[in-house]
Amino acid sequence: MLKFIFFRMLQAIPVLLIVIAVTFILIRQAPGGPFDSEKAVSPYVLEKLNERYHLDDPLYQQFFDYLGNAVTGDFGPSFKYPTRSVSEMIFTGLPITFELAINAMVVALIIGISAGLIAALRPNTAQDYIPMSAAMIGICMPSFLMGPLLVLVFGIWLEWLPVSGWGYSAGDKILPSITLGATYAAYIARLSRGGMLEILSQDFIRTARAKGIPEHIILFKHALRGGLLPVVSFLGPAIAGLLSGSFVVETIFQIPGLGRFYVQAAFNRDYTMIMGTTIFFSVLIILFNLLSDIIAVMLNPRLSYGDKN
Amino acid sequence: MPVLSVKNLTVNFYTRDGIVNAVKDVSYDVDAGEVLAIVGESGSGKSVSSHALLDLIARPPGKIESGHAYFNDIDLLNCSKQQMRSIRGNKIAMIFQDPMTSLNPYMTIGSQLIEVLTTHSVVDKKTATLKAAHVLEEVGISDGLKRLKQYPHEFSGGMRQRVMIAMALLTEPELLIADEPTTALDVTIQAQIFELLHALRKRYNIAIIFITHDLAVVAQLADRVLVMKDGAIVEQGTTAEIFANTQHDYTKNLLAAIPNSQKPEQYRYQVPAHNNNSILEITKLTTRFPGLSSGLFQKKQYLNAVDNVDLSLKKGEILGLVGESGCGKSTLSKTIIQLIDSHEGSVKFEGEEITSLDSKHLKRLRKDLQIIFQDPYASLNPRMSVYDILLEPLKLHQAAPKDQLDQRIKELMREVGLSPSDIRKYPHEFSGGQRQRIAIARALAVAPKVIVADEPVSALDVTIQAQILDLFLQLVKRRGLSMIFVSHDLSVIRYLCDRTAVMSEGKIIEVDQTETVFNHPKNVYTQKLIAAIPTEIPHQSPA
Repeated sequence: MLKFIFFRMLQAIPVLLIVIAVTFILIRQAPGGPFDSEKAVSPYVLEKLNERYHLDDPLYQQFFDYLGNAVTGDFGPSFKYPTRSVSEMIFTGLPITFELAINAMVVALIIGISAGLIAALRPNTAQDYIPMSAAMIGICMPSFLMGPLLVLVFGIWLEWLPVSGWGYSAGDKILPSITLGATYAAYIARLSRGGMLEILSQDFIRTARAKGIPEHIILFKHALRGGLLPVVSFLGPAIAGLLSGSFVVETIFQIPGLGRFYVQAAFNRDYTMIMGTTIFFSVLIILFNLLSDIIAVMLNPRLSYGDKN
Repeated sequence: MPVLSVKNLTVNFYTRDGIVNAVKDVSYDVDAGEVLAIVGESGSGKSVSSHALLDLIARPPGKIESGHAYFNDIDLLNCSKQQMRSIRGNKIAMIFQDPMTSLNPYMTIGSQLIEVLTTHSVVDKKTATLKAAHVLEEVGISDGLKRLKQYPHEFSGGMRQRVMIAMALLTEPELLIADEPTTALDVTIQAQIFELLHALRKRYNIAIIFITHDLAVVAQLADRVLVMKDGAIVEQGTTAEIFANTQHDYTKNLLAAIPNSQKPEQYRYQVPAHNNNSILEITKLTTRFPGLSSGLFQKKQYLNAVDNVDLSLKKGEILGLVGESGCGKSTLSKTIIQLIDSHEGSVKFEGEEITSLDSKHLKRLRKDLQIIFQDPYASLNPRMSVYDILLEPLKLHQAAPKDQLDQRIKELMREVGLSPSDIRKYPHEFSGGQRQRIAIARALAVAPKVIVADEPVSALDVTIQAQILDLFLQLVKRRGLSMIFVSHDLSVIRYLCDRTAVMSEGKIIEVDQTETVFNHPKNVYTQKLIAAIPTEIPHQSPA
């Protein structure tokens, strides 16, 4: 197990290096720079700024300087908000984004797994078609449409819930969590339906029936563990996707999370901020994938971190 | 007083292509302590008829149209779900064909055994655990308490079937339904399972319904036999009666189809007058697979799947390669025709070394060396018609002039016993035997010199198997082919092959004339293997 984690960490190093290199080159290839703005800056000031931030050094030197600092955890100061460091800004936004992502995940799991189970119990009947059609709509509907629709219905017409903010008034976390989780709920519903259908058609389920085990125990004890494996493998990428994909929802609901910083940084050509957040998200994605692989192995006794069988 | 009395059972399946009468008006009794064998080929309704008793068929599409099955005055076909659950696994237990898939891979053996007890009786966990461990030891799994904590994948196939049997015996049922319980097992393991069933039946006086396609098994195990065909019982009687005085033509066909002799004289290998050259010469061939890696910096461990094998194939002969699962016979056959890379040794085809050929020469070699695989369901592309399947190799190897392609394809189909009018059909429209004929035609299309057949008949019914074996004999003779025939089935090998090589743990442990191997086996393992063949059936005079 430790060996498995160690090797996965080793694999992550080249991945991160590639991510850093590609991002570094791409953002510098994009037109404009951090100090372009509507108000013209005098060439002298610009030169001084570039010098101050070593933007006049050769590209490779900038790259290796950056890499050297990043290894020690120093992502440098933000170009746009020179008084704050990138790490500081990430850790201001992170807790909010993280909470949003976890809430959305919980929503997605509860709705998704129940819908999937209901559908799998009676395949090809109304009990299957209705939740699965809903899931299809959920997958097709982008969050920038889902969000405003929910706001319109529950915030403006029914006046049940606040329409924006995060932690300012009671219940303002509900709509963003549902908006963000909806698409994932739909995926999870389809995955758990497929997984359960496959498991329920296995020979060992017939064995359990032949043993006289009641149906609900067959479902929860014999089938669920294997049937939800596809969902578990999906969770890692899903949480990473929720974290990095939260910016649309954060923008719709005016939430001061990491996603919004990320988008703003891209518009502002805030090189260090873009780099910092990208690296941070990459690390998160790698970690959560690792985590979901570990859980999948724990659920499936036949897998054992690739050192048996 | 019978334990179980089935009356007029009829089961239909309502499929998209219409109603299938799976079981037609079947009636039979089973007495206490009796072994009743239900024999039939695939699709005969033998499994459906017994699964229906425990409400284990999918409904829909299946539907029990009529019938009663009295078990201790309870009609199994018309009882409440509650009653059914209290009988299943308790009074009537069942074991299934494939022990690999019949146990839940996500649960320990222990929890799967213990839940049978906790479901059917009020018992505390400790008592249940001790009882489970005890029954495990009774079916020949030592160290029961420790093994309860293990998962199914930590057991071999034979051991898993023992676990299934233990699971069935936990509640001391009155009736055990065994659905092809040894079909997926090696012959030596099969013999052990039979012994076990015999012993248990004596001890518990349990009635057994034994479902099988294998008449040789029946002769060894059953008191009475019921022969099914197309959903109906065509013949029943005591085992001795059935074998001594076969009434129905179908049963006669079944008996005649069992290979239990040598092939007819005209198909045997004739030692040529001049120098008898080998077409394939294999020396010191070794194929490895990566095994368990033990540590970070330790040397990688390898498993020798094929270990230092010497073998030769003479022109025009059929060489049998026999062994139990995992002995490396499939790997060897694939290594010989260069589908798997070898690590050491050489394979010479007509004197030319072929282990290190580049892709261009390999393509030429593929024309001369063809392979036929075990599963005709999986080895044909379901999206290609017969025409396309046969056209592909013809075009690839330019084996026929363009204007004669259609002609050649029809000839091939006729040669393997398919009707050329089916040329546009897809694999799923053919039966298993016909599909294997397609696979044979595909191999023959490029006029190969050597055919390697990897368990080509083990997925087929015995009557179909007999037809395919005879097709092989005719083709080998007519086309002057040489053939390596891989099988786990000793009687098939004995019927078909001129010489036989016995394989165990990657090594060839014995090669000789087939009759010598069977009558005077030298190696201890070979002796064990041959002793495990189900006793020969009192044979019929040809009808």
